[in-house]
Amino acid sequence: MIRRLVRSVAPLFLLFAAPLAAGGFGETAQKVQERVLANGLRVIVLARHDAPVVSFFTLVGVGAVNETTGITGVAHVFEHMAFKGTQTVGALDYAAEKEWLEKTDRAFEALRAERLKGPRADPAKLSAFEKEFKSFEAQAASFVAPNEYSVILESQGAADLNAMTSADFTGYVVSLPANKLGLWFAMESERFREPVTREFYKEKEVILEERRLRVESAPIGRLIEEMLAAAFKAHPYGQPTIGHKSDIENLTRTQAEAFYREHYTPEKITVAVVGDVSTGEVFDLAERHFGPLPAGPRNASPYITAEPPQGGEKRISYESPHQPIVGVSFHAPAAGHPDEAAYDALADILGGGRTSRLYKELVKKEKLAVEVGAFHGMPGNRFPNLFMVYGVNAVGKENEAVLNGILREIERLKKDGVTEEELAGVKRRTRAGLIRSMRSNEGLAQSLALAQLIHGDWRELFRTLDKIEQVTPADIQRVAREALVSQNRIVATIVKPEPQK
Amino acid sequence: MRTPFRNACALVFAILAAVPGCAGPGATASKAKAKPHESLTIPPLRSFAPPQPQRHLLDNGMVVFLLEDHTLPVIDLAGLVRAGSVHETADKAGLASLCGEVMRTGGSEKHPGDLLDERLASIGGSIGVSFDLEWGSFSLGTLAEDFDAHLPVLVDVLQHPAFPEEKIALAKTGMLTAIAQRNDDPQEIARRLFPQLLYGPDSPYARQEETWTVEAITRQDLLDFHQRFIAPNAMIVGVHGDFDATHMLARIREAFSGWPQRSGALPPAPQVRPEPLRTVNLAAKEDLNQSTVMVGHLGTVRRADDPDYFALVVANDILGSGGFSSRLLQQVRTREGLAYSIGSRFGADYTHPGLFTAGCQTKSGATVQAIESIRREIRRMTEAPVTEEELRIAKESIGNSLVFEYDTRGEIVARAMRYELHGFPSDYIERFQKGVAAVTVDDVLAVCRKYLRPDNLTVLAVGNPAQFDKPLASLGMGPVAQVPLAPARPASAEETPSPEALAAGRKVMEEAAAAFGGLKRLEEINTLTIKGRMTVEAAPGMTVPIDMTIAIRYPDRIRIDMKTPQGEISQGFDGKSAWACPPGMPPMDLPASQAQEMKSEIQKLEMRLVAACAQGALPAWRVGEEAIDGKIADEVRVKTPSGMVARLYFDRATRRLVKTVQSGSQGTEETFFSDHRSVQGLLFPFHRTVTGAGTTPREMTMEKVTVNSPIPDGAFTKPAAPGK
Repeated sequence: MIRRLVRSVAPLFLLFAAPLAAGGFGETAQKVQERVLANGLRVIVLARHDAPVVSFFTLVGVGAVNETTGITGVAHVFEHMAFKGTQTVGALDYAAEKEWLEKTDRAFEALRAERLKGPRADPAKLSAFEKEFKSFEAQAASFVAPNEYSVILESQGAADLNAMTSADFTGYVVSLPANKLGLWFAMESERFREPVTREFYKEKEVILEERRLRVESAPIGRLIEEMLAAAFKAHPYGQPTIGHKSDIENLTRTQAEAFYREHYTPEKITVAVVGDVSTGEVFDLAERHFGPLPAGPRNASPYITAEPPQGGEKRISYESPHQPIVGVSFHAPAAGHPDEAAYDALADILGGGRTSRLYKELVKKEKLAVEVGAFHGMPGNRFPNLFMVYGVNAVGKENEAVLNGILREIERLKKDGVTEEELAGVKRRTRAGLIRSMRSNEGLAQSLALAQLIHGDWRELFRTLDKIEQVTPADIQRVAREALVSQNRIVATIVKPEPQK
Repeated sequence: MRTPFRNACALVFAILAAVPGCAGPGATASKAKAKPHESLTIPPLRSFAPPQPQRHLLDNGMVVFLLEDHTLPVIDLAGLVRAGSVHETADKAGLASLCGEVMRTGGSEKHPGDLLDERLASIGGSIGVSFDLEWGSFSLGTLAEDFDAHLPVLVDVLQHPAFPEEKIALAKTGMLTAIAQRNDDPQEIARRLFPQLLYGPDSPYARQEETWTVEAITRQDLLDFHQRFIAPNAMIVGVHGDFDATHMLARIREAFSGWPQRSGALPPAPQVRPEPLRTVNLAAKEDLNQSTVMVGHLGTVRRADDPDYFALVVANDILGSGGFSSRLLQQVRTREGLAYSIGSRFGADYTHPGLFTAGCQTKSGATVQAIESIRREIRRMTEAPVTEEELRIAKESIGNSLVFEYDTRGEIVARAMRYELHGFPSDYIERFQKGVAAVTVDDVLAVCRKYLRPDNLTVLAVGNPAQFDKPLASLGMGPVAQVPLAPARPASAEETPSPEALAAGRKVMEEAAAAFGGLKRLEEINTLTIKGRMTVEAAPGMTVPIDMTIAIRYPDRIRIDMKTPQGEISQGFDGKSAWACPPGMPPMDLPASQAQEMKSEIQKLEMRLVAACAQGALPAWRVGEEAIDGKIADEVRVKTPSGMVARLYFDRATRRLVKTVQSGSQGTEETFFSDHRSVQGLLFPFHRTVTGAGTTPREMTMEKVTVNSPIPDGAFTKPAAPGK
């Protein structure tokens, strides 16, 4: 109960973190089958027949990292639009609707242009444009069967119908009774073949509420946004995944659709299916439904600005009546780097569970913090990222004390290294964790697809254990000495607001 | 946005397998080309017999469920124990939580917590202990090869927790930090405050640990709680994973064998107050740009024991828990764009009425608009039938997703344990399935009319009122009470109120004395004779009427005569000693403690307190305000002559007494006053309702009140003969 009451910070971070990878499990690995369609779309299937259910994960290799200034948040906006249906689903009369959708766009663009004049905007025009926009929007809405896409799946027994957008990717999740396999292929393929971005402007309002919920009313959400912005001045990992408020407000449907056309190409899509299915049937259905998607440009890796070396410590703070918290981050290599497993072991030894160094020292012994953690992969894994350590101050404890405690433990580790015993624990826990992660269809579908995206091969999921087995105490000490240094460090804290004079 | 109900239900797979396989509604007229799913023929779900766990009742009274699962080399044990925070006292709120935490972190003498941590970390295993509202949970999860060695460790920790002081202090730091953090998240504020508005702040179903209740908990309290509640016959254990069931049963038998059963019955589930109070409340937090709003009222249905429950599950699916098809989501999110997360919940709990709640987060500037939209949707459910299409979608989505109740061994075992805990009928699965399938649009309307009370909604908004679109008062649901984010420390004899609070309290008491009929008349009260009827809720839904007469002569004489279904009872206090005449028995003397109690009852009579405070003879201080039945009342606290602190609430406009709160060792009692009538120039409340944790709910209606008619001395002394 106490663990429930102390608000856990970890999930907020993990939202952005790597999936739990698995490893060395021949039996499961042997059963996984893969097919790449002619247009480049990849299908990964694991048939297992325990219960008549199946989980689907459609992973699109596009995330906030693919956004440019002015359209931040567009990947996430499109994730929402993917539930708005198609020319048939959600449509009462698409031909009529289309006309009003386009009129609405033009009205919005006129309104937007006038608004962007700022103080020079003509109030009369603003009000006229606004009126016209609202009226066209209502006209378009009259041809919509709202949420029909989701309603069809839910009435067919969908569980956990959801989607997620991160810096690295966009993912669409659902589990269904196993007899709905054909239904899923029909529905999923159509929404990525001919999505209709209806109710676009209303949905932006919903997204602005989501932003208020997750970031603006959540000081830890704000702190993370500020910390990433400080850490990445050049690389788009510094941009908020949900987008800046004004970008969401000013985004046009034309921009969102252009983003979709550029990035939702079959080559970037991986579909993972785990559950009570026949692998052959899945491949046939995939061919039939996803085969017709037109191929995009091959091997199109867009250029993304590299983050230059930081050169000195950065400190940022966010003023809030929120209880204090201390985050200490360091620039670290992307997943797939040969040292990935060493960084994961380092995170576990520093901040994983009740026997980690930070927990034993800061929570149990010095009672400076009530929660600590460490992990690698903030805010994503595809590009060089952050290794982050944090502590949630115990009531009445100063940020400085918590920060010094964290830095002291890091220095001790760099100086003395880690013990064989500590590393043996990491390996044992990794094994147990990986075995458990194999149990859920939904979790396994996501892990397979993400391993494919991040490592370019889903088989890496099953090699995780081998990789961690090869890590030595010297590796851990070496990466700590390389990365956990002041020139590489960003310190982020929540501090009490200064009293207004 | 899963509905909590779906998780509670289950199904028969024979029935499920026969669900017809047509995907498309095909009902929506569409001018467009065919929707992708419409031409599909969906095969029936293959017939599937979900694995059934074995059930064993051990000699020590423990129930064990076992389910083998050899797909992966892991074993998970989960346990339930019938003890929770409802079993702690209000002055030590947080005790159950603390107990669970320190059982785990402190470990036992043989397996101290820190060593336990190392041991579990080295095998990638886990042990957990925690307590919720009405039950506790414990768990052990390991790789299959490590399980046998660690089962006795779990049992030793459960049976012989060491509760080291150091770990108690550490856990308290955690709880105090959590208390300091709990206003950081507006949704958490709403989740905490809203049940307090409906159940009452002191109800075990709503109260919170506070710094002073956590600080008051001692190691002995933990030992007592553990001793009283944790025993094998209060436990249900479920294990699933890679084991042989015969072997596992033997291991469990052995591990728990030395642990004696607990005797003594568990206290009954606390009652909830019968009449929900409609109020509008604001928890102001200026740093927010988004409001969290909640509306709702007390539910009156318990899970499973009422046929209306199935129709309510369907109704709530349509209103707000059914994902994207629900009306609240369609209207407030999709059409109006006012919220990201929105929904409703008809909380039918297992042991007590839950809460009906609906709510969302919306930008500050749409707060009142969102509340109005939600209210409109709730009202609409009671005005017209839902459409056949809505009914079909709700029933299909409930029916089709039932298979997910059985897709993991862990869920199957957990459900068997939950049903065992609540004594659910063995055919509940069939009942739920059939019950939902049989619901009609008329049923939905009927239960909505019966259980939804759109005119009696309590509202809470957490947000920055300066940015609201309109003031909350414009809802037209009554005045707006400010709910503090941090509650005032409860009244105690040590409390030292500020001079301002004392002045404000005195002023309220002066006005209240005037409202009662004036100080002069109050002072002139010598005797009071009250005739009336009390209705006692002896058990949920079972009331017993008692006719009673109370005679009081100030300062220290009282007599009470009651006619109960069991016979006549009298008791009294003659200024020195107290007595009672139980039915069919000779008069008997009551112990001095009870005599003292009766005497202090006379002193505590509200009118006397008000008069004394208005004259400055007793200190009274104002501590805040509360909305009661749609009106704002000021809370004033008074230190009574016996040193106790009484809490009195006076309507702000009329200054009539509307509520009192008394806390004692038994719990907290709330009394609501209404139907004020004038008797000889004095204003008496002719109706009172008494509720509270540890209290038998009762109502009292006065028939006749007489002031200052002489009462002879003899009436107060112990009668000589049996009876009257």
